[in-house]
Amino acid sequence: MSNAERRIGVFICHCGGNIGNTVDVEKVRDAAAQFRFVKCAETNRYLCSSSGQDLIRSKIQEHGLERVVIGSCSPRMHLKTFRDLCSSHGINPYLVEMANLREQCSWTNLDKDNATSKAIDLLAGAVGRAAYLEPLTPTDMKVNSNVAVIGGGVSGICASLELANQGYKVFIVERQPSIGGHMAQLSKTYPTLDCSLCILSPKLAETKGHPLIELMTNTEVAAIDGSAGSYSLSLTRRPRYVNENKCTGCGECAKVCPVEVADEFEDGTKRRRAIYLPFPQAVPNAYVIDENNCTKCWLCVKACKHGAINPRDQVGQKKIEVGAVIVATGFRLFDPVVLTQYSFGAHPNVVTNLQLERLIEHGIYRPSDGKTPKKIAWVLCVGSRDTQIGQPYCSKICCMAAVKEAVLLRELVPNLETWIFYTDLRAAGKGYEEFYGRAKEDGVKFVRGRVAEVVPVTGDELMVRAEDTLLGVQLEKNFDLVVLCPAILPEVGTSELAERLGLHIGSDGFLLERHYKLRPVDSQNDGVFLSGCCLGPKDVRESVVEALSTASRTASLLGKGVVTISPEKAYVISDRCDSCGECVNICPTRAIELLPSGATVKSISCVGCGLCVPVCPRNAIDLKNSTEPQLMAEIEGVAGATETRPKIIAFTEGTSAYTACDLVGLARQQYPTNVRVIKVPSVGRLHARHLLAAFSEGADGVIMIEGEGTFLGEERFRAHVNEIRKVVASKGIESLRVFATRTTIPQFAKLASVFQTFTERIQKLGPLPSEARSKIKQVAVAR
Amino acid sequence: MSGQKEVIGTAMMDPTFFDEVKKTPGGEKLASCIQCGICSGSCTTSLAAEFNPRQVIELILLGLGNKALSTPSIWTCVFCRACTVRCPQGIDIPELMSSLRIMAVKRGALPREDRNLKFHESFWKILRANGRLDTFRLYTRLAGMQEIARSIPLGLRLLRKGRVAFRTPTMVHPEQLSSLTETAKASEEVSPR
Repeated sequence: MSNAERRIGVFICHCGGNIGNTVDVEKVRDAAAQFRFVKCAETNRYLCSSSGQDLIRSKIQEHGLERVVIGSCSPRMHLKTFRDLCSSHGINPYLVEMANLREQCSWTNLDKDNATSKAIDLLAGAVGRAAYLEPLTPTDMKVNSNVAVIGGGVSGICASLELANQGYKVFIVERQPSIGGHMAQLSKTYPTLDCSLCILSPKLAETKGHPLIELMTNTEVAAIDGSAGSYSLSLTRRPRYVNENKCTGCGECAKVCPVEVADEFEDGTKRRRAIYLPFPQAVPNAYVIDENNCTKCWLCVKACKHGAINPRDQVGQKKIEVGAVIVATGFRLFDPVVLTQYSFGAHPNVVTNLQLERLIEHGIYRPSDGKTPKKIAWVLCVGSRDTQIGQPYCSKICCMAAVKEAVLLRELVPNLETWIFYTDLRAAGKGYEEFYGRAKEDGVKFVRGRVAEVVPVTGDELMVRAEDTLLGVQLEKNFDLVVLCPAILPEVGTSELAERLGLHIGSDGFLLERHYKLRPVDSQNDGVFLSGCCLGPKDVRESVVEALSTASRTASLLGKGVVTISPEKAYVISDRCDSCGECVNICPTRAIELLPSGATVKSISCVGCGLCVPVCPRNAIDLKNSTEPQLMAEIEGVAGATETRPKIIAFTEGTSAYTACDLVGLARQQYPTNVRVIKVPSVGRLHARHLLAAFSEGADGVIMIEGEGTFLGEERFRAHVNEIRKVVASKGIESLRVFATRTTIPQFAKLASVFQTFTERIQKLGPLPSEARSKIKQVAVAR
Repeated sequence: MSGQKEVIGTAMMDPTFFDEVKKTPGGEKLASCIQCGICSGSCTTSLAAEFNPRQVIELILLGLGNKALSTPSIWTCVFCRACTVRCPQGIDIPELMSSLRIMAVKRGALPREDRNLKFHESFWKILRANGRLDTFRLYTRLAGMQEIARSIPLGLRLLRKGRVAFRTPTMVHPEQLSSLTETAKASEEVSPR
């Protein structure tokens, strides 16, 4: 880069009095005019106003400026304004840099002298960085407007219909031979007691008949590639052996099938043949051969009058191209057999609540002898709220499901005793508490106490022992049907799918949303959305709400037709790369691949966090718009421009932590001017050399602030920071001079006190001795 | 239990008690108790107790130190561990009971004539002297004359079957046991006195 290409213009804003009253803007301008590469330095009352913009425009032309540095409010406020302005005058928007003189300087203190020094430092950093900026161009990528929905339960179906009705082509990928999911197995839904299939099957039929929905049953996702707007999914279809179009569902085949096994749809309460219809309303309404149990006698082939059975059906591979993916893989139940005290599997009259749903559909009988039960007990929290054997979380739906089943059964069976043993009865939801009240009115008995054991007494009866914690007495009562309400777990294969899709899994095993409150159906990957029970236990209504949310999120991604991809991505300097794979391991979005030619960044998947940069032992990977020279020049500027003692540099993660720093100013909270913020994509972008550079150039203390919920999780943050501390300490700098913390945006107020306390600490320690500085400098030069 | 119930007032609550118990073995996870009652439902001896395990924990959570330490209920635990095996929060209740017993004795929360205290004292005295439990002596030290007189028929039957004996059982190296208890005592982990 020649010096001519580095002609920098500096513009400093008074912002009325917002900056000007605290910062001596003219003095800052005089200082800035002396910085290297600066061709002109100007001030203005309001740079964002049209007269301010005119000034910038005229100076660009007058001096042939190549780069522009603005000292004004936060870049969060007006970076786009100034980038657009410069861009319209031939300056690449990525050659515009801002120094935050308002939110992070003038608004946080009243001391004019110190604020002015701070402003000079911040501007020096910005100018230093500006000299090394590189022109960058965001890329627009045309999106594929198809959508893949993984999972055909109620959530997947509703999302698909919503999108298809908006004109998007949808592929539903369902592992089972029919769509419908768990909702199809339920008797009625609470609190309205709608018949579950009555409200679901019209949706199933609509899905089947929709011209824009392509149904792929018996199919799983084998691999995924690409990024938001352009994903490619490899699908594997298990053979069905029955032609869906030819099968009329007459059932002649099943009559001759000699194999009988437990029926999954009936959750083992009934048996089916090896060739079977998943359930009467199944979509597609075609028989299927269960290849694990089929003996290949092919009696069914002879029995089929329509020639629908094809013994030579094979595993099929298919690729689909989509712009977005919705994951709606649902749940499974915890297997209560491990809690041996509940006699599940040991006595036929102990069933799960899903089995009970099927028993209700078949007119309720007790499995031991087929007679109508007289006394039913529900055992809640079987494996839920259990940190030892089950899951620590509350499964949320079991309380209401048990209440609903009790109410239903009391209608079906006269004089039925219904006892619900609960830990805490959770009926939060529209109409739920009222439904619970109705159940009590109806005569359902509620006992507060987690059941200790279920002991078989006679052939049909079981004794339930629990403490009635409200009385503090032990209660023992016999029942002839005991219903366990097992914890809701993520469906089998969720973690493998997450692995394939690069999704994150929370400590509870469910998929993790991008932001708990504000991006509840976004995954960590742009263009992949999450819906229903794959995110956590929830009921039908909430699953549908999320389905509609994902549809909306999908439409807002695909509706524009193009996605803009930021150019701020990692890139590999290939002649330095020796394929060690460190960057591949640390990348949170699996955006780096090891190819024979070395590490390669899939720029579409790269989120620009920069975690890969410091781990590279050969400095072979760097980050666009936060390159080593840019960062080093900024550090040098901020640390070295003025002789402020003590000087503290706060490396701040660019999104939430930086926003929090702005909010401190917005709230006019005061903290010592000694602290200067340098924005970094993530603390994970930092290497010990950056801290050493800060110390050698003039810093006396360094703070590192990471936002919570960034790609640098808490554990990695701790490990990374400790590693940096170790190196810094080994260079003879007291570890007290380095501090690291994480913050959320709402916690911004704590930053002011962090800055205050840390400054006091460094004041006590005194400035870093100059011998220490020169010692690091020598090492740095040697490197 | 009497028909009279008392109001639990501020004066009865010791705000430091919970923190104190939390530091003892078995107290680590106390705060996570969800009062589900699976411990009490599983407890083999809570029928004999004033407070069941869940209620003992509630006493601690509320800071009712005097009540928790003076109730005979903390002495009824027989360490069968049914509660702990099932506790969803992994609270080690027998260990907790043991810690409460130690605290009770240290604080003198029990009357001298307390039967549980006497039982444990005699139990340990005999054990330290002989290295083995002597059921006959343990019983005669605890029971009153009338009680002993009443149980003579049962005692004779047990004698005939060799279940109790007048002769004190001994062990080969009692000095090993005493060195063991001395070490334990030094580290203050030993059972009460």
